[in-house]
Amino acid sequence: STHIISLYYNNSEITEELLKNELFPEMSQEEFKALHEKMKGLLKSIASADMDHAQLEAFLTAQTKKQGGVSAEQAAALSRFWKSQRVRVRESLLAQSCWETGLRGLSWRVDLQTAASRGDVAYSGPVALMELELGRAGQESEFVCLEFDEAGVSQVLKKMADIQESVDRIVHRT
Amino acid sequence: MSSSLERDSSFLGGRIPPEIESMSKNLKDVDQELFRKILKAVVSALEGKDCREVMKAIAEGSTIPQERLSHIISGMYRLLSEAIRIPTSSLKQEAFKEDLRELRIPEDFITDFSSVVFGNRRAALQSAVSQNDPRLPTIEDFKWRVDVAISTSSLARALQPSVLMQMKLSDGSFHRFEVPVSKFQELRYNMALILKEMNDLEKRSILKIQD
Repeated sequence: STHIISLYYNNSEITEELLKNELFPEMSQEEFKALHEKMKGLLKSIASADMDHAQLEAFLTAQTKKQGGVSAEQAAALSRFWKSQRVRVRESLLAQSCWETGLRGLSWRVDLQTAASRGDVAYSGPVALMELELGRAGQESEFVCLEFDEAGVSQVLKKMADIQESVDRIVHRT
Repeated sequence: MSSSLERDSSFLGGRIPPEIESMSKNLKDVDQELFRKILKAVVSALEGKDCREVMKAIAEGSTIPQERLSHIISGMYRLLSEAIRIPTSSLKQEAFKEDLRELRIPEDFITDFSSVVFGNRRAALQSAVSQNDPRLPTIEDFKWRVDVAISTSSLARALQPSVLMQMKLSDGSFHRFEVPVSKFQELRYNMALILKEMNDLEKRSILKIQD
C-alpha cells in the first residue's frame, strides 16, 4: 500500500491525518509523520529535477542503499508513481509559476449577416465570432468577444504560423 | 394626388415620409447644377464623410433660402437611404423611377437619383452604411512573444515555452494573456477550422443571400 501514499503529492485536500487513518491505521503518528516527510522530500527532488527514467533509477538505487533511505518496496512505489504521473506533476508545477492572465478556453461560431436595421444587406461574406476565456490563477474568468472577417482570420493564422515556427525552433534546440 | 402618393406598392411604403414629400415640393425651380451639387454632398454624407464645409458652400452660393435647402437635403438623404436598403432584386429601376414620378419629382432629377441608387456607387454606399451595423470589436493590432521558462521555484529544469499575446481591439481595449503551448495548438487549430468553415460557406452558393 505504500504506493498510494505518493499519490497525495498533488492534492492539497488530502490531509496527513486522513492519509494516516486510511493507509496506516496501525502506525503511530510519529512513525507516519517521519515516513510522510521522507516521501515528500524524495518526490520533491524527483519532481524538481524532472528526472527521466535513467535518472530516477539511479536516484532510487542510491536511496535504497543509503542509511535511513527507502525500502525496495517504497522505491518501486515511487518509480511507479513517477512513471504514471510525471507529466501531470510537471504541468502542475509549471502552473505554480504562471501569474499572467492565461487563456483558459475559447468558443466560436461562424455567421452570415442577413439583415440589419437599415435593411437587407448585400452579401458581405461570413463573420466569425469568437469568445476567449481569460483568467488568472485563483480568479474568475473574464470573457473577450471578437469578430473576424475572413481576411482577419487569415492574418491571425499567419501570425500563429510564425509563433509555431518560433516555438519549434526552441523545442528542437533544447 | 394624395391618393396616388399612398399606393402601397411604393418603395417608400404606404405613407410617404414627410421629408420626402416636402423635398419634392421644394425641388421646383431648382436648377440641375445645384441639384447635382446637393446630391453629391448627400451621397458623401451617406458614405459617412464630413460634408459640413460643402453644405455651407452650397448654402452660401445659392439664392434658395436656407430653410428650403434644408428640406431638400433631408428629403434627399431619406430617399436615398430608403432606396439603398432595399435589394436591387426587390426594387427595380423602373419601379423606383415610377415611384419618384408619382412624387412629382422632375424627370432630370429622377435620372440622377436613379444613377446613384442603381449605378456603380451603390456597392460603396452599401458598405459605408454597413459600418454602422452593430458589431463586436475586431483585432486592430496583435503582438506576440515566445518565452521559455528556464527554471522556476519548484522546477530546476523547466525549459517550457509559452506564448505571450497582446491584442488591441477596435473598441480601444488591450488584452494581454499567456498561452501555454498546448493551448496555443488548440487556438491555432480552431482558427484554421474557422477559416475552413468560412471558405466552405462561401462555396455553398445556396447560402448566399437570396430574396
